[in-house]
Parts: sequence; C-alpha cells; structure tokens
Amino acid sequence: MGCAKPVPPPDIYEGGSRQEAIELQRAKAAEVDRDQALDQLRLASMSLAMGDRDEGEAALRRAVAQMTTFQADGEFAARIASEDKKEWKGEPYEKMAAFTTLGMLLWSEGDPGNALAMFKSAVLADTGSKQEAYRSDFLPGWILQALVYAEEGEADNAEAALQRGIDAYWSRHTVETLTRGLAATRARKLSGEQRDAARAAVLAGLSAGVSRAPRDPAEAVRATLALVPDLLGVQASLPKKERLPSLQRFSSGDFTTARRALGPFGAAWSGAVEAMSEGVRLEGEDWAARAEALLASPPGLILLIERGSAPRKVQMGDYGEVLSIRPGLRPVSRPHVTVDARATSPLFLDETFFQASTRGGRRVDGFLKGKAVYKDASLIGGYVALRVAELAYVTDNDAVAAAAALVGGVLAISSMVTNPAADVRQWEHAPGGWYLVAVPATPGEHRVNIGQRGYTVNVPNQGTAVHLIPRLPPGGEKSL
Amino acid sequence: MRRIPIAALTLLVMGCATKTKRTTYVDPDAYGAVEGTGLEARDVRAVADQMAREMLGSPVIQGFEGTPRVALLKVKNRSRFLIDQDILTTLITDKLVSNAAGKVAMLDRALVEEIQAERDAKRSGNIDAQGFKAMAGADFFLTGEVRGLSASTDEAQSDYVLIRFQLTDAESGIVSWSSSYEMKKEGSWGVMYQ
Repeated sequence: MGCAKPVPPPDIYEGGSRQEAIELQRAKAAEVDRDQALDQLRLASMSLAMGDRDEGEAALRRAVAQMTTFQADGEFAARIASEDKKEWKGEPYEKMAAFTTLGMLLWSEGDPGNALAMFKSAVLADTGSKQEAYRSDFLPGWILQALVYAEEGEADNAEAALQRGIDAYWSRHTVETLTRGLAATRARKLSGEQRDAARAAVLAGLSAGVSRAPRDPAEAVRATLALVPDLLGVQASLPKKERLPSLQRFSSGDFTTARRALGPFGAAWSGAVEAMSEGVRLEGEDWAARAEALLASPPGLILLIERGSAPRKVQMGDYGEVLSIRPGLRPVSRPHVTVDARATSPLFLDETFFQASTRGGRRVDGFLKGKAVYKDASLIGGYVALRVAELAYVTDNDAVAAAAALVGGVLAISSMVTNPAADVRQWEHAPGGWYLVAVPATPGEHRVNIGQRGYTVNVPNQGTAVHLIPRLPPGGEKSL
Repeated sequence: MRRIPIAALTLLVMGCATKTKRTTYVDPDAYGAVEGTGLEARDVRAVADQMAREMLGSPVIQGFEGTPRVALLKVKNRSRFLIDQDILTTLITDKLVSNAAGKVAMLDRALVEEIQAERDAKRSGNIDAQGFKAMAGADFFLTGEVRGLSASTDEAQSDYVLIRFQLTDAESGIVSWSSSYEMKKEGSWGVMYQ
C-alpha cells in the first residue's frame, strides 16, 4: 500500500476536472514503468484536447517509439504473475489510432513524409495472423495516404492508395454480407453435421475469396467456392494447430464430409447472399463515389474528426483468459459540420470497435492472448520433454533423461501456476471512430462549426490546411 | 530469529525502492537494447559514409572542371518509419565537406531567405558590405529518398528499406550518379504479445 502512486481514474478528465487530471497524468507519464507508453497516450489525448499540441505530439512520439520496438520489459514476470506485468504495447487497434493521430499532427505541421509513414504504419498494424492472411481494411490509413500523396503531386500513388481504401471498404461489407449469408444458409437437404462442416470450410476460404472480388459479393461467393476444395486438400495435410481457425477441430472424416456437402451448401449460400447484396451495393457505390471525389479536386481544408469513445476491453472465459472487446460508451455519431455557415457532409471513415473486434472483416467474439497461448504451449512442451525423459531413461541415457525431466517439470509447473487472465489495460481516450471533411476553401480565415464547437481555420495561400479535431472536450485548439 | 525481521524489512524496502539506472555512453554503431525494424543510428551513419565516399569517388565529381557546387535537398520519406530527414542531410554534408578537401562546394539552400535578406540590406545601404558577389548557383542537386516494403503477422514483422541518393545535373537534368543502401530487418513479438 505504501508503494502506491496516484493514478488518475480515466473519467476524471471527462468528468470535468481537466487540469487536475492532466497534471496527474503528466506525472504518471514521466515514470519509467511498464505502463509508460499507455500513460503517454493518455497524456497525449488530454494535451491535444486542451490545445497543447507540443506536449501532445511529444507524448505521442514517445508512445509510438515504445509501441514499435521489440524490447519488452516484464515479459517473463507476466508469464508467472498477472499478464499486466508486461510492458504495455497496445492492441493493433490502439496502434492504428496512435499512428493516425501522430500522422495527422505531423501532416498539419507540414511534414507530409513522416505523416505518410504513420498512415502506412497504421495500415500495417491491421495485420493478419500466420495462419490467416488478409488485406488491411483500416480505411483512414488508406484514405489519408491518398490525400497526402495527392498533395505531394504523386497522382499514381494517390490513386493506388485510394483504390486500396475503396477495396477495403467493399471488402469489409462483402465479408459481412457473405458471413451473414453463411449464417442464414439452411441447405435443408443436408444434415446438421454436413452443414456445419461445409460452413466451416467456406469460412476458411472466405478471406481469400473476397480478396479476389471485393466489390462484387456474387463473384466473391463464386471465387470462395472455387478455392475451397484445394484449400481443404492443403489444410488436411497440416497439423491441427497450423490450420486456419475454422478447420482446427476437423477430423479427417470432417474434411470428407465438407467436400461432399460443398456443392449443395454453396448453391444455398449463393442464393442467401444474392438476396442481401442489393442494399450493400448501393451503399458501397455511394461511399466509393464520395471517396473518388476527394482526389478529383484538391481540397483547401481537410479535417479529421474524432468521434465516440474507445472500445472497452473485458476478460471472458472461465479464467478470464479471453480478451473480449465491447463497444465504447459513446457512439460514433455523424457530426454536424458547417464551414462558413454552409453545411457539409463528413465522410465516415472507420470505427475503432470494428477494427478491434474483427479479423479480416469477420467478427471475432474474443482473442486468446499471450498468457493463454503460453500456458498451452508450455504444457505441451512440458509433456514432450517428460516423454523424452522417459524414453531416454528406458534406453539408459541417464544424463539426457535428467535434463529433459528437469525442463519438462519446469514447463509443466509453470503452465499449471500460470494465471491466464487477459491483459485489459486500455487507452480509454482513444477515439471511437473518425469522420473526414475535405472541402475546397479559399486562402484566408474560415469559420468551422462542429456540433457546439467553433473553430477559426486559416487556409494558407499555397497548400492545404490540415487539422485533427480531438474527441475529448474542449476539442483542441480553437484557432487553427 | 533476528534474521527474519531483517529479511522482511529488506524485502519491504526493496519492494518500494525505485531502482536508479545510470545513463551510459554506447558506440553509435553498436546494436541497441531497444530496437525496432526501422532505421537505427548505425544505418544512418553507414548511409552517410557510403554516399559521401561513393559520390566523391564518382567520375562525374573526379572529372569535373573546377569545383562542382552541390545543393543537397531534403530527403523524401516514403517508408513507414518516422525519420528525421535532417539527420541524413547533416551527416552527408559533414562527410562531404570534411572529406572533399575542396573538391566539392556544398550550397546551403536552407538559408536562402536569410541570405537574400542580408544581400538586400547590404545593397540598400542599411548595413555595410565588404564586397558584392553573385549567389552561387548549383551544378548538381543531391537528392535522396527512403522507401520500404513491409510485412507483418501477429508474431513477426519484416521491413526492407532502400535509401537512395542521386546527383542530378542542374543544367541538363541528367542523373550523373546514384547509389543505394539496402537493409532488411526482422523482429518477432514474444509469446506474451501474440
């Protein structure tokens, strides 16, 4: 108890005691400990909201540096004690938000090269696993890259980044449509077992199928169904742990069942998707047209508006070993924006909760994180080492038997004593999502209103005025 | 018996104590304890050294009649890493100036506005002057860019970075010399971060 240091509760700032919260946070962020990157991010959020860009940027730079190194203090301690003993580096969605925020600050200061670097890093943070590769669908990363490239006069790169963004938008909606279609597929001629096997097989090929035709759900269905037979052949030859997630429980009989059921199941799935596609297509075309318009004429004013509150991490499972993500308390609502009293419609870019709770666009209920992975691996490692010891003992190889028994014993015990509860430390002040305003504006002062907040924005004679509007009150600098 | 309270006190004190770590000087070319897959000090130093050496030894500089004037422009970052572009240009300028032994004249284009203001003030008589001369024009532009290819999974990350410099004739636009520095780094997250 005597060692405890004051930690500002996350809601002090939003509760109104801003100055007190920021002073406490400043002191906390200065401490070199396992939470320093997280505390720097919290400080950055508060400082930017209070209009102190210098402090906000410095804190973000320190946090990003710590989040991107492979050095990790406390990793061993975290295996034995609670998982939050390890150095905090953030979940991918927290990295995306940190990179995007810093990128916007750098761009607004006239450093497009490093801003671009941060937007690229944000896209890379939305990464696939070793088993399941997919394209990043972090829309702000792609769209902001396109706008920076355009400002830099690199039209081809701008167009390429924009098209990747539009593909990402279509891709996530196509995945969602196809997944909903999968859930709705009945295929009544098949038994429950056959349906489940075919559904798991299709799910395994979904990301690859959608990447072949992200903008056309019907074509994505055909591409997926064409890929699945070969995919099943390859997956059946792999050890269970190395297979795609939906096939890890498959026995050899399940593979055969899935192959046989694929034809009728695929036909029913295709029908279910077709019935859902029209609305998705219209919505996607509208969004894509608005995104295309961003490059058609160079904007004089670009605002990235943070909205809503960050997703919440919670522990799930018998031992709290599953990290589950819940939506933030404040929704990501469309802001009402006027520029010089003229209403403008902001373009929705993304929701942090979507990024936090999906993999390749598919919803995931929870993630087994490091401690649970370690517990599993060390138990298997311990068992293997003890078996080696047993064999060595039988064959009179006493030295090997003793060493293997020691290793096996240590691994098995460490697995048994390991507390697998997931680490739920979180960047509470991260944005819940982003909207983009990109409008033509003549050089000089302009009055911008975002909801109840008013800003004076100065557009330069050459180039574009670029600003980040923090979600936390009072909403950052008022004169931009 | 007396040892138990002493041990307990020691544990208590250790539990609350903040370990003070001294700062130590390390070789800028050494591998650091804290690294990612981006540009490190030793990469920046190696790039500056290679570029200065190769450029000074290139036929275009060696065979130039008179002293070639080179304007070094800001390095363009197209990688995914935060880079202080000024570090690269500063180091290369230093290497060129110190190793060229008068074979190359470096132009300072960062101070053009200040130089112009000074010249105007001298010519208007507001401040005195020890003589007038024309501003030096560039024979070559030295430009650089950093590009990268990156891949990542939840277990590991890989980055290939290409740093390229080129000397462009300021009259003809012909690329007279170029050189690249490549590096590829991989890092993996510990099991607790997967």
